[in-house]
Amino acid sequence: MNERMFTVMNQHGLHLRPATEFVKLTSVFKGEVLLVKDDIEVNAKSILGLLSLGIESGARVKIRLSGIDEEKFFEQLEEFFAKEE
Amino acid sequence: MNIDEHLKTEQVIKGLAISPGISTGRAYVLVKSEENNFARKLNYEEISDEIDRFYHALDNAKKKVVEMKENLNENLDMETLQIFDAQSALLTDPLFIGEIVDNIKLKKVNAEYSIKVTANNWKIKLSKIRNLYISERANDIYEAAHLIIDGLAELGSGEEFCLLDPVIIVAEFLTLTDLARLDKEKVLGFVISRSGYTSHAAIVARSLNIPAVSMVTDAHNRIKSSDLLILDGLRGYCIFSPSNKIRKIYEEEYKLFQHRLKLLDKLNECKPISKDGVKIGIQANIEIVEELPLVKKYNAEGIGLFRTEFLVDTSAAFPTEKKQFNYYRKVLSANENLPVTVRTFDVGGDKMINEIELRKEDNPFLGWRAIRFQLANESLLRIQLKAALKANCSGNLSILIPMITNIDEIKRIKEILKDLEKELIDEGLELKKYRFGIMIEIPSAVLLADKMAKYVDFFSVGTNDLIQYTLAVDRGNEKVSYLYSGLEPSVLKILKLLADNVENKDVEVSVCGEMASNPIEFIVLLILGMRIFSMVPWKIPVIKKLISSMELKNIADHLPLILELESSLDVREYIVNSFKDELSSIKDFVF
Repeated sequence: MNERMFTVMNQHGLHLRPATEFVKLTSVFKGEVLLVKDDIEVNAKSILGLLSLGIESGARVKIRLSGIDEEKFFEQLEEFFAKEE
Repeated sequence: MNIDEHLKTEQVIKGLAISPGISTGRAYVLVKSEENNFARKLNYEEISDEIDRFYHALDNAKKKVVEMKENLNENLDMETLQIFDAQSALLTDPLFIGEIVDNIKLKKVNAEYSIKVTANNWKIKLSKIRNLYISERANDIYEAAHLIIDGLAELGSGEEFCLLDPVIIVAEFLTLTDLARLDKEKVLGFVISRSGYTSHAAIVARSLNIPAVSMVTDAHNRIKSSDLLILDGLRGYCIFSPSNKIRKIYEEEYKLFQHRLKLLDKLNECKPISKDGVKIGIQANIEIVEELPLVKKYNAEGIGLFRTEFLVDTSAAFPTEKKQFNYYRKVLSANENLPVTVRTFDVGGDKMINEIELRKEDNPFLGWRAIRFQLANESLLRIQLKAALKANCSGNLSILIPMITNIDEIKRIKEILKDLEKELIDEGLELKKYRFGIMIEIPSAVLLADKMAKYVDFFSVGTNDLIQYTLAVDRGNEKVSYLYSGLEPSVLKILKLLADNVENKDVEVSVCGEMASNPIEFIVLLILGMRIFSMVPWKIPVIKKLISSMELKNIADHLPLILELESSLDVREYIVNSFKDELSSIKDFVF
């Protein structure tokens, strides 16, 4: 299990469209992806789980990975969270 | 007695008119499987079959989303297509699917019920989130849930719907799937409990000329199938068990509406050319892209006013450049690249942006609105202008700035445009030619028009605001609205001043306010020398007919005479008497 913090840069937070994109990304990861915000942990392959956290722009989130090619996937996540729209 | 008076003795619900027209017919209440499916307890042995049935329906629903997306691909913008991606994501959501299956297993209930309960829980959870971007999408869960439930219905059990006779469809809301499954030939109208002017149902109804009323509270519960209904898509009424009297009245209303449609089509054959061969420019004002087909239908020579406030009204936040680009591109590339005048956001005043906390002003119409607001939030103006410039694929764009008070504002906007042009070129994009113009709606702009003409390609006269600011009358205020008239001698004088100020200047002048589509006021504008007009599409045929019945060569001879008149009534009387024959050519048309 490897974890890392990210800041959500999307100007409207992780709403339906970016969450859809995010799930597309996480669902190709071979292994478990968890997202933690304010001590609440959700399955990051679940769009409903993500939406239910109501993640706003600028929020800090922790990602926990356990699977194959974790480092490479963190880089992809880095790119995703940096996008502003 | 007008219709509203007659309706006092009827059972009426006032809703939102989302598609014009009149119809009378029997209701067909579209029972969503949701209401149809009570919990059914399963025996232990049934559980694994029920789970299989659920997965089977889920697969079908996923396929259906992909299919719908592919079918609609060419006609929809990216944003709408992303809705389908979101639906796909919901249908593969491990939490959502897991909970549904758990419910079937643990509570021993049928799949439909389990889906309904799960969807409902999530919907409640999401609608409580403070981010509007998320809470407003809570209904998407329902759409996804219904796709599976529809899938279950197709596997057997549940109601198939096929319409035998023409009916008025009554539903809580209509999904894309519902609309695709309906035999539109048999639909007389839609009564919908919730769905706005821009919902799928409203767009489809308008494009197919089916009358529709929405926001009829609890319609699907209050109305029973085969109840007799009258649907008034002009005024937004839904009348239950109508009396014979009101039915007769609405039979006449229906005839009138059909007559109007036919008349419009007939008038539309006229060319905007006077009897003595003077060509008048007729363009359309539009607010939403769904009106684009009307621009073509009424042969408008372009879109003289494309209002963009729709983009602000429908989202909680300021629309991104990309969203605006997609929207403008759609309009600019429609109708064989006819000229399109994009007006920057006219917000503030009475229209507000949710995202930006605007202080409530004592005098909003004299306050922080339109370009004043956007120059103070320059990044928003830049986003909008850049989106428009990028969308200008074939050089048919005109940019129009509302509420210009002085020349400094014009200079500042031109600097910004120059910056943006450079940015575009730096980004490797091709910069197409475009025109730049301002609204003439504040008297100061009329007074300075001779100087402003140097900086712009065109002036667009917004008569509504120009009248309001000339007379200091808010026409929305019923105590003073009697003072508001486009025929006021002072209004004529100020328009004459504008005409004088632009004489021999290299600047085009057009009129986009309501005066352009009111026949009497339209004639006054012709007398004042105006030759290019933009108006709501459906008024175009009448104005074209009027033009074709007029002689224009010597029309300016009336000018000194009307400028001598002392009241708006005198002006009206003068026009009515001097243009009797011309006005009688359109008298059959009800205004």
